[in-house]
Amino acid sequence: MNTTSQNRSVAIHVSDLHQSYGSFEAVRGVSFTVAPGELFALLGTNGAGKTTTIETLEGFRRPTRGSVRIFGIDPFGQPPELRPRVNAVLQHSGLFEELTVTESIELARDLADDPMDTAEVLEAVVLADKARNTVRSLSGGERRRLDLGLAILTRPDVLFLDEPTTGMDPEMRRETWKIISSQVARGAAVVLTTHYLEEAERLADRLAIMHRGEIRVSGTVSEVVSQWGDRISFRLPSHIRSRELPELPGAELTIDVRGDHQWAVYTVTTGTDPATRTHHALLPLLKWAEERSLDLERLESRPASLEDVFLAVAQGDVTDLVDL
Amino acid sequence: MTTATAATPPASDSQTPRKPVSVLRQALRLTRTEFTLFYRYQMALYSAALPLIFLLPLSVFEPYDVLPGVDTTVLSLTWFFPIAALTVGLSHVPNVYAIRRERLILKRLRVSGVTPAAIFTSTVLSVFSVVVVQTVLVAALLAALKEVFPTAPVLFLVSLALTTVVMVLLGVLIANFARNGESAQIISMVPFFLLIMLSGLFVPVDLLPDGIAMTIGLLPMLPAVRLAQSAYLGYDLFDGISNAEAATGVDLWLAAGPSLLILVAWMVLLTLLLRIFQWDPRVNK
Repeated sequence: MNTTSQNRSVAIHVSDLHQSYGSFEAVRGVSFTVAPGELFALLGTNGAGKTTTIETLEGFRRPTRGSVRIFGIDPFGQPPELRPRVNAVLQHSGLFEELTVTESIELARDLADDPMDTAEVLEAVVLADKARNTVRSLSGGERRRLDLGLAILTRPDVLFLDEPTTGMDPEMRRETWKIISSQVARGAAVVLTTHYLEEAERLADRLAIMHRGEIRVSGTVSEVVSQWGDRISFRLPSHIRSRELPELPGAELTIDVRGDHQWAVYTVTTGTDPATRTHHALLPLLKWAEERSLDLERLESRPASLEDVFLAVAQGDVTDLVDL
Repeated sequence: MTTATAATPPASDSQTPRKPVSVLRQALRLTRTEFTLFYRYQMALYSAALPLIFLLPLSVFEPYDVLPGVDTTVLSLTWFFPIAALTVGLSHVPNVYAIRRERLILKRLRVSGVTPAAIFTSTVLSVFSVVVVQTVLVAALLAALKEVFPTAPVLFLVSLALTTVVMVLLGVLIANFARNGESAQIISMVPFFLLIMLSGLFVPVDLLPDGIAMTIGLLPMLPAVRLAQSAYLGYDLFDGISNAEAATGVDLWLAAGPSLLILVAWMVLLTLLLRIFQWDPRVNK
């Protein structure tokens, strides 16, 4: 892809990225792109390689192998063409504790070209009533909001958000989601890492789940979830053995032990139509139960959640890489 | 390897090239903030006041003349000028940089588009301002008590500026090897005491074997002290007090050349070494 066409269509381009610390390979062949006006969520357990990937994109690390480009430019060392166009919220607040909220914003404004007004930033991050307070006196959530305010005041074209809502109460988290969404709406390419899966489900246009330095699953939320399949589960009657359970079309059976009971869990992953596949799988199960006069206790059918997929990836169940 | 690619990226009008803010503007703005932080940060005030402790012994000892118009009190007070740069540079800078790195303040500045040059320059400017204030105080003391005024003020200021730059850069590099503010202070004590002991006041360099004296002369502190004293007192003190001769104007600049070159060499070397500066907290390593 030449630089010009890449500039027009893609803000962030990561290709076969490898990052090593000595003999330890923290990132192993990660590739993704993020377009302007798109939020890409990078999920994974601690040590999955998310922060290393973002630090490479921020220009703090040179890839061991592969390449990263922002608007077609290598970000390593933060070249002058990229500096005004990129900003970030780091994993922890990087603020001068002795400055007030207003002083912190005014400092960031003076260091940037064409920034937002101080009042505009205070209003956006809901800190107007704390304007004269020192950073030292702010709560953890308020610091994160100030941090976000400092990141958006430069109106960046690319925004990296590393766990931006950590320490926030649920109400403030939702307020922060609105701020993030407004950045995407004005055309910023946003890369978000978070431990809150609900946050990724709400905000992400696309996401990837990393494990041990690799992207194991990626796509839109609905693609990722539908790929993982719907769940049918019920408490296994005590006189029924697992091998007696019926085979259901397009479904795989597993037995879970929860407390004193065994549970049958069918994962429905294949079917002609994802919207009706569970219906087609349920029918023979109900028929099988009727023939044996069985009441299936706590019978439940639900689509897989992002949490199901995340936990499966984190536990290493997803060994084959999914490419959507 | 997994590839996650956007199918149809939306149009964006935000890709017009934008102008980065100049290094000078960023450095001056950060310097302003440094002053605000300086008077709100008690440890910084302590660092600023610390060099004045070196003046206390002067009131105890009976002064005697070492050169025409120069007694031991005058010599000690002129020794103070570069020591102020050393003290603030090595007691304040490593501590502040280590703390700011651990709190991700330095990294936050970098991801906001602030250049390393602007960050380091602002530290040099703020420390130099403190050193200038201390210098003015001591110069006023010299004028009031001994009626001694700087003979070569330009050379004196140049030497003071170079010494400050070298000490600040050294302080930043020390922070690179410290895990936190406390360890930065402990680590910085080693070069601090080494440089102060070899600055010419405590160890009689003139009496040491030539090889050792030459080695000490290549460290930054002895040239810095000799530059400040020579420029202030109007003597060529670069070969020691015993060989001192009165010198002014071009003669003094020519005599000062090697010492200036040593400081410039240190400045270049330390600037190059700053490329290894770690912006990430060391606790994560």
